[in-house]
Formats: sequence, C-alpha cells, structure tokens
Amino acid sequence: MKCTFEGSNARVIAKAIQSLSKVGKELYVEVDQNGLLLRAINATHSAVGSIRFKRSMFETFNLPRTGNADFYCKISMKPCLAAFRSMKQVEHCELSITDNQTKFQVKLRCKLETVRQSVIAILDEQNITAGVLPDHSANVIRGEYKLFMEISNSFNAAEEELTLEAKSDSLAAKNYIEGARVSDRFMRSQLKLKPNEFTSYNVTQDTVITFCLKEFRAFLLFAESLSADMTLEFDEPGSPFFLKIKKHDDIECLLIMSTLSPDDVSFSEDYCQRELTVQDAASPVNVSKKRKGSAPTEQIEHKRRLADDTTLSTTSTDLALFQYNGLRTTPTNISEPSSVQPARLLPEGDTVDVDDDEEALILAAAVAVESSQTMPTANELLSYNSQEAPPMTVLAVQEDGSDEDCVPQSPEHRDNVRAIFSRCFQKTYVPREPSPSSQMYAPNSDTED
Amino acid sequence: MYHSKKLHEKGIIRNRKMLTQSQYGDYKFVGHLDHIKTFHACIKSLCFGENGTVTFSEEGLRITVEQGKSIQATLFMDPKFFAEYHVKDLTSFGLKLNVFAECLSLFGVMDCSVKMLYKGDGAPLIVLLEPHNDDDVSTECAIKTLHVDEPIEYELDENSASLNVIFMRGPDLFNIFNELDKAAEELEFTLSPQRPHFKIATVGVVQAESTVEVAKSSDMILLFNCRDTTVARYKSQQLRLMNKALQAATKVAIKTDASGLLEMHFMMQSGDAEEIYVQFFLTPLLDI
Repeated sequence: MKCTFEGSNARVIAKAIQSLSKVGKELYVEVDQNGLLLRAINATHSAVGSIRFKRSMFETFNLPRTGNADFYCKISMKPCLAAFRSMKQVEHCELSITDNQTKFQVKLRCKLETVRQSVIAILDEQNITAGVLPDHSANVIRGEYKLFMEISNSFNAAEEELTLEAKSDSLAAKNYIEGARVSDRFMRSQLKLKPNEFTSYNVTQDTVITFCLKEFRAFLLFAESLSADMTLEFDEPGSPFFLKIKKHDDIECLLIMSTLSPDDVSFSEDYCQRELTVQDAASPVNVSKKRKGSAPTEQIEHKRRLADDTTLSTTSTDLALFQYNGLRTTPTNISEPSSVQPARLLPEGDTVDVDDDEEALILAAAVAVESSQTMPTANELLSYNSQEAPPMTVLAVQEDGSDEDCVPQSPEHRDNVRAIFSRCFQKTYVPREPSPSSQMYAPNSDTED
Repeated sequence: MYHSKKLHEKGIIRNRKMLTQSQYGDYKFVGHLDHIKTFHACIKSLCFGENGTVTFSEEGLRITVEQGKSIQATLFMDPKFFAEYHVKDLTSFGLKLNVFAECLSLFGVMDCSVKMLYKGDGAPLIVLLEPHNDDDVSTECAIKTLHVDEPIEYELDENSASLNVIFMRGPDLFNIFNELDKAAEELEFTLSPQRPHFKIATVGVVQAESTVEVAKSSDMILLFNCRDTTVARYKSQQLRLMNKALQAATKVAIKTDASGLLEMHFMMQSGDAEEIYVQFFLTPLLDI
C-alpha cells in the first residue's frame, strides 16, 4: 500500500489523528477502494470514531498488491501522534506499508529539503467495525461547528457527560449529574436553543439523551479545523448517538457513542418524574426560592458569577443559558430545581427513622451548622432576587395562562425560613449528612424549635 | 577607576580597596562589555555544569564547563568583543556559573553594560552592572573564585581522512532538534558525502523509529564538507544540554570524524559583527 498527498491534506490528516488520539490509544488504519479510513475506539468500547478520506484527496493511491484488496492494521497512537506532530513545514506526505506488511511508514517531505520519516510497528492485523449503522434516526439536528463549540464551551471542562433534551420546538443542553451525587459544590448549567439556530432541526420524538463529552469534544475539534457542519442523529436514550461531519465529499467522519440507558440510575429519569411534580408546583417565585434554599452553601459571589456567565453567553449569540435568571423568566423550564436537590434523590431506605423529638434536635443542629457556613441571609436573598428577576409574579401569571397544557398543581406552601433551609425540611433529608460523626449529648433546651 | 570612584563618592562603595588610582594598575584582568544580552545568553547555555574554569589571555576570554567526562562546553570571546580588555598575564580560576549567571540577570531584561575585574589569585571576581536607561542604579557583585583542575582537552584531528564538517543555520537546526521524539534515549548522527547527507535517527522508542534527513543542497546548510561516512550515537539527554546554546545561535558548525567525537560550534551574534563562540564536545556511546 502506498499513498501520497500534499502538505495541506497532510495537515488535515494530522488533525484527524489528533482528534482520534483523544478517543483511543490505538489507531486502526484501513485502506480500500474508496480511500483511507482511520478509526479509534475508546477503552470502554462505548465510542468509536472513524474518519474517511476519499481517494480524491490523494495524489497517488496504490492498493496493496496482495490478493485481498482491502488492507487494515492496528498501530499504536503515540508514535503516530509524534510523527504528525509539527506539520507546518510539510510539503508532501507519503504513507506506505513496508517490511512485509509489518511496518507503517510515514514520510514527510518538508521545506528546506528536509525529509522526516517515521516507521511505526504494526501491532496487529486487526480491524473494528461498529455493530450499528446510522440509518434513519428519529431525530436529526444539523448545525455549524461554531454552535456546537458554543454549547461545549458553556460547560465546565471537567464535565464528563452532557444531556441533550430535544423537543420539537427546542433543544436544551445540560450537564449531567449522577442521581446519587450529593455534593454542595456542584453547579447545574443549562443551555437552551431554538430550532432556528440550527441549519436543520428535525426532532420527531421528544428525547432526553446523555452521552460522553470527551469524544464529542475531540470530534468538535476536528470539525473546527475543517470548519464544517456537524450533524447529530439519535433515537431514544440507550440507543447509539451519531455525530457526522462531512466536508466536500472528501472527508466523512462518523462518531458513534453509546448513550446512557434509561434503566440506569440516571438523572434524566428522575428529572422526568420530578418535572411533573414541580411543574405542577410552578409558581416561579417559589421555585427560585426553593432553588436558593437547596444549595445553601453557595455564596452570592458564586451566583453572581453564574449570572455573569449567563449574560456572557446571551450576548455572544442569541443562545440563552438558563441559569437562575432564565429559570424565573421561562416557566417552561421549571423542572430545573429538581436537579439541584440531590438529597431528595436518595432512596427512601437511606433515611433514618427518628421520632419527632429527636428529629427536631438534629434539625436544630443541622440548621446551626448550615447557618454557620457563609451563606446569604434571607435579606440578601431577597434583595438579590429583586435585582435579578424583577417582575416574577406577573410573568408567571402570564406564562401560566399561555401554557395551559401543563398547568401545574399548586405548590406546597412553605414559609420563608423553611424555603431557605429547605433541604433540612425535606422528607428524604438525611440528618446524618452534614456531620456524620455528630453525637447528641444533651437534649435541646431551645423551646422555639 | 573612574566608575567605582564615582560610586565611592556617592557612598555606595565603602571599601576603599575597590578603587584603583592608576588605570587598572592592580588588576590582572579588566573587561568591559557595552551590552550584556548575548554574553548572558552564552553564560546561561553553560550553566548545565556547576563549576566553570575561566581563563584570560591575550587571545581572549575562555570559560570551560564539563559534566561527567563526556560533555564539555567552552565559551570563547575575542578581545575585540569587549569595549575594553586589559589582561596582565594568563590567569585562570574556577567560578560557580549559576551564581555568575544570576548576577548578570539582576536587572532582568534591562540592557546593561558590564565590567568585570579580577585582582589575582584568591580575589573575587567583581562584576559591575549598569543599566543603560537608568543612571541612578548600578550593582556590584563580588563572586568567590575557586581553584579548579585543568579541563580535559578534546581535539579532532584536522587532517583526518574522515573529518566531516557541516555549517548550518542555527534556527533551522533548532527546529530539527525540537521536532525529534523526546522519548528517544539515543540519537544517531549520520554524516555522509552521499545521501543521506545529514541524518538524525531516534533510537530507543517503543514501536517506532523516526529519522530526519537534510540534503546538502538545502538552504539551511551553509557549508558541506564531508569526506567519509560517519555514524555515531549520542545520549539525547546530553544533546539536550546544548539546547540553550542552540537557541541563541545564529550559525552552527557540526564536526565529527571516524572516532565519533562530536564537536559543535555555536556562533552567537549580537547587534554588531562581533561573535561569541560556544564550543561543545560530546563523546559518542560505544557500539556494543
């Protein structure tokens, strides 16, 4: 096998290898009638990325002389990355298989009559094929890479999964929080997009899917280097998710990723259930307060930062990031608070049965603990509310009227103090949680509680 | 000495011994440099070894550094490079190069002029730094000098039938070195009158080998004079010690012969035409 191509195409292939290197530690090379195919599979076999370069990209393209026309092999990614590391000076590239099909050779002819040559050992004559093929998925979304870049950049680099909630009239992207993850530190972000942001938007079936961000980002990088459009195709949760990039019929990329199954303990499931109850509860004022209360250790500054984020992304394009503000102004999105009450997601069995007296004592202790942490007082919260979301109640009324289809039930009544420390008053609250080693030595003498 | 006299009048120098009445009467060596930048870069490129041997003679200034008997670097400065250069007789002493480099960088990136003074055996090397754009500040450092052994003399036989010499442009060679696989433990240099004229191969990387070849007609090669094919391997870790010198070099000469001893000359040019040379000797790894 031998194929040659010029410098600019070599740089594209180098980018492709860089993207694939983020998916897997080995590179599968396949050569057939149609061109060159590079593939990588991740360690857990949950994602396969393949990038095809058509014959038109190559100056010469010789198939192996052996009987079977197709040639494939597996090589280690690391030396391959090293070979394609600095491509600035490259004018011409030649890929070939040498030494009786045991070596993969990359020959780069650079400026100033320099030739760089790397010989990489072939690990195995192995190939991978994905068991699924993208046929006609129920949902097809196509958009510019910039848009997906924006979505990806809106989330913390440490986030591992992304949840897409596709409806026929909107798409919401949010970070995925595992059902049982109980931490005061986590942040919930959500980005809501209208169909007209996309080049084409065809969602026939409302779907909530969750997939890995790492591979998604790797391919996004490649799409950026090609400045090409991206197409997402997916069905119900649990079935594969396809990401396609196509450029001038020369380059075709396909990333197949498994999505989180609805059977797993997943946020999407909890989320759906909660949506009903909370949407029933939908007085936005209440919701926002509940939200504050549910993350008591979050400080105002933190919230300010969030608010800043929001304004940033809203100004950059017409994307709307639904954080605190968005929540209050769009009641269709009321489901939000459910996600920030991790304690409620704990299974019932985990709670400790305590009689009323004891419960009150522990609660008092918990309240003390919570209030000793730096947290906004009720006043601060109120002023904050009034700054950030001026005509909440009015808006809510309007929206309620327009959104008759899912008229929520009336909310449980909660007074202010309770709303602030709402986590302490939840039925599923685990009193042990704030200080698991705490022990009560004397009964509570405070009569107010 | 005019300069230190001024400092003394200002009360900055208290020690009267530092003043010279006649023009450098007591000093075995006085050197004055108008611009410190290139000199500083050269000194930094020598800092891989702890102690350097400094030698002053009529031919100029030499600083030699060794590390473990297998790599040696020598800096040469012609008297022409100095604005003033006075030397009494051949003197040599040891110096902690890290300390010297640190003294030279006291003013950071500010351009300074530097004056070096040495009184003789046992006396410290006195370094006076004066920034060009600030008349109010100057520093004086006294660096302890040491006794050191004479460095090993390496030499390539100029008349050897296998002497190969290549002159290259510094930045281009730097790029080539930079693109070599960092994981390689050893590098193999091939110089040959036939193709490949100049080749570097990485050795010791799992599952991969890579080579870089430069044709002798390449624009980056300024002079190509190879008599015979020579192949030798060197530790990449030691070659990397040359990186700082290579980074600052405008031209590089690569010399080797059948013995495998590698001699590299780095020419550092400052604004004017004068040059500082840093010469490296690197012994090859034995073929087993």
